[in-house]
Amino acid sequence: MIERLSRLVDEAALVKIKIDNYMVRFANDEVTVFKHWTTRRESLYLAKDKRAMSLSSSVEFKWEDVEGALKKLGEMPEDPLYLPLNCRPRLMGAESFDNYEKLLDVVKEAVDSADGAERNAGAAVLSYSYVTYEDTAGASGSYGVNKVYLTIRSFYRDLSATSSIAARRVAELNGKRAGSMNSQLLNIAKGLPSKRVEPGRRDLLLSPLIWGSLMGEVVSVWASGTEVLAQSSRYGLEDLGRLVASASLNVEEGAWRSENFGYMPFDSEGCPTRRVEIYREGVLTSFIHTRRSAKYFGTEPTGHAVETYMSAAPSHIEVAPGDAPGDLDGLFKELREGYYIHGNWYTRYQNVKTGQFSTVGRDVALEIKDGRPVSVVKFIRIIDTLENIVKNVESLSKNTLQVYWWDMRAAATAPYVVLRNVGVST
Amino acid sequence: MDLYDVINYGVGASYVEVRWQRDVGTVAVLRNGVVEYVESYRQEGYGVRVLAGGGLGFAATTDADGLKTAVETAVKLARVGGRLRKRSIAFSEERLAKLRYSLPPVDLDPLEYLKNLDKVIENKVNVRRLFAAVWTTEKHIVTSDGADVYSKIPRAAVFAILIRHEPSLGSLQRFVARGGVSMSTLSRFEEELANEADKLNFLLEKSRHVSPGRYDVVFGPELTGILVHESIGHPFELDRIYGREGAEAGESYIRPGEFNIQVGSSLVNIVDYPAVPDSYGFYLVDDEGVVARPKYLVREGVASEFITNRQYAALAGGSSNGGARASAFDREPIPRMSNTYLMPGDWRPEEIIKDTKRGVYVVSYTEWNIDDIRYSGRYGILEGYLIENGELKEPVRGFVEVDTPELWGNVDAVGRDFRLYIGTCGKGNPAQGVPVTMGGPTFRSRSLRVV
Repeated sequence: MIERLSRLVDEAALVKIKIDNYMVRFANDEVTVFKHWTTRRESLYLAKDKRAMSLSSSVEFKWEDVEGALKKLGEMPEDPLYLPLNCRPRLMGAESFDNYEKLLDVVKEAVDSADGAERNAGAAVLSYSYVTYEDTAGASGSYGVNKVYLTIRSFYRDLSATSSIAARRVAELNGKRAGSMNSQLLNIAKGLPSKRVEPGRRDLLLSPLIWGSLMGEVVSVWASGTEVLAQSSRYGLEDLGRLVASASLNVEEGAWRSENFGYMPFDSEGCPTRRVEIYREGVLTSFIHTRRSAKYFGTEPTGHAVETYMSAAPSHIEVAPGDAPGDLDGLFKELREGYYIHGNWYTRYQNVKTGQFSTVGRDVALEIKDGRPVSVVKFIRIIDTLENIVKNVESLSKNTLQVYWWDMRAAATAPYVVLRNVGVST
Repeated sequence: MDLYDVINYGVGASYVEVRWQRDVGTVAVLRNGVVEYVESYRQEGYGVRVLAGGGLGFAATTDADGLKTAVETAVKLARVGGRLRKRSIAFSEERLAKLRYSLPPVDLDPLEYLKNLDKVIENKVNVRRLFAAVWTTEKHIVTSDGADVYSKIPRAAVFAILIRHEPSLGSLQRFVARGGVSMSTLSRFEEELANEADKLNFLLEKSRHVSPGRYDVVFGPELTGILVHESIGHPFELDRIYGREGAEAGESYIRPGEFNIQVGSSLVNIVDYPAVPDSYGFYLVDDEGVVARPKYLVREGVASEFITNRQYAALAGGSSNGGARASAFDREPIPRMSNTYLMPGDWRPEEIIKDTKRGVYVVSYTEWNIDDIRYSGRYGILEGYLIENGELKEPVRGFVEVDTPELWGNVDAVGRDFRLYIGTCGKGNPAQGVPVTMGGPTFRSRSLRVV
């Protein structure tokens, strides 16, 4: 295909992605469905006379599809950000496909360990991606990697707690730990009085699940070269090198690191993923890029054309730990007064440029007074700007968790965080 | 092996369903007038679902040669999963469809359409991000208990994100979308988009934060849509009520076994109906072979019916109402909304405003969200106006923070106007985004908290 195309266009690149997925879903302590699905995506990038387009297919390309695209290519306007193919992907060995049959054992272990829960729901998922890349510039590469995650949400009456573990191998999913963590939180909340949250500004302790999710939002909407280019981001090129966040905050994009759930040796443009520092001690350091956004900003691509070449997106967020305690009791004391929020979902923006957002608490939220939980807080929302969120970091726990669940943009390795003076409402 | 061979190759399953699905289309993205992306795509394959050993198994393959293995895998997974069940999964018995239907193709060049659209707004806002897609979904569903349905449905959708920012005034953002199964649903969208861009300028300059308090709130049809979708449609999905989405999209304020409970005033009638002509959420038969019909979710304020597939109909002791949808060949059919709306009443919209002494009229929204049992909602006002003694006054912004029983329980006027808005509804794991519409008439709910 590539050889034939090299005679018809200036450039062509073919990416083939095959993902085998196994998923055990469960609710009410029963398996609701056990699934296996294979997705294939072949993406073909075509460029001629500085015009570019792509086509994709879940089945092998037919030549007539390619001919149709070639015809359309001539009708495309010149791309002002066109640049010749210039990435050299890695040729990696393919890992062996992990054992999906163990997923059920992990689920059972997690459910059995959630002492005190009336019922549990969740999913254990194993995905194996095999990716190949080749282009008319002579570059080629391939890799095959596993990734797994477990989410368990445990319920007791109207209380709930969620644990999530993301890893690269099924053996790294510690179901017992996930169930026990839920059990611990439910036991703290049981017996406490409950009340509706009082709107206002409060100090907050957030779990790694929330903090990883919020940092994923920051990187996706503000530190993506594509968003900066579109002027949708709060940040511009002039902000690089400025102190824009708390000096306690260090955030990197970690798709390059092989231990990470979001590990990806190269992206859909064949560009190797690079270590990208977003915040170093609160200073905005760099953005993630595709080839096109990198060209616009006169820099190198970072390998973050994750889904398509259209936009730069994170695959794994790394938030550095701090020196605050790693256990809930110690963290409650660190917070002193305020709310502990364990889970969140439904993050929406009033305006991505200003970063005005709200996100809805789910699971147990606790009111903390004198370093101790005194009540369960219901119907809580965080309502603030992303700018305040990154500026108001006071401390981070000394331990991190690798997390991923259904409502996250990207997986994350994140600590607990204490934030001062954050807006909450109901 | 073809689809009919698959259902006969049950390997011990009590139920086998196979769905071939092909989605073929083109998407284009324009950013501030520059072509960001154009892609033609084809997604095609087979999804097999079986009941065996008390469990439910699902396997999907892109390759017809893989069908035999897919059935065997689905049966194996169902049996393994069945070991961790207290009672076997069963499907309701239904009279199933044997039908072929298709709609005429939609003729749209997404890129050319966006270029023309962009011209009408290029000098009005700072950020213009436009997305257009046209695609055709073909499905052929065959089940071992008799369904045999082929459908071919084209769709077109256009989305626009507009941001206006002015250092001295701040910034406002608007999301606008249109679409359906025919080109008629895009008629005069250029005009509407230009109008929305003008409004952003007007609102950025003129609107002020509302004084927090209790107001009678008059919701325009765009708000009606999102309110119906989030606080009635989702919590009325029977799989949520029974906890299947507990760790992901959440559950419901309605608990298993709760039927005929009061959720609103007697003026509230809410329907989900897939076969609304030209609508984005259109279908005639669901993805389990059950013929679609109107689902009367709320009748005169009482929860009267839930959106279900065959699995949860059996669990609740009833019949499916044709609510099973799968977004792609590699996704399982689960209970989903289609076109969900508040039924019109007998007030003219202007009469509702004239009848309101102190209120807020909300025309469009920005940020919104709701908790995972769909009880506590928050809706940002983008275009809104104070109402004083029956007259519209200055534009205001803020949020309506409202619990579902209060929202629908306080309804005392429902308009005779009607409009549907499109959306992509997310649910399931792995996530499934399906095309839906939501809407209805203008209506009023008394004494809500606006901040």
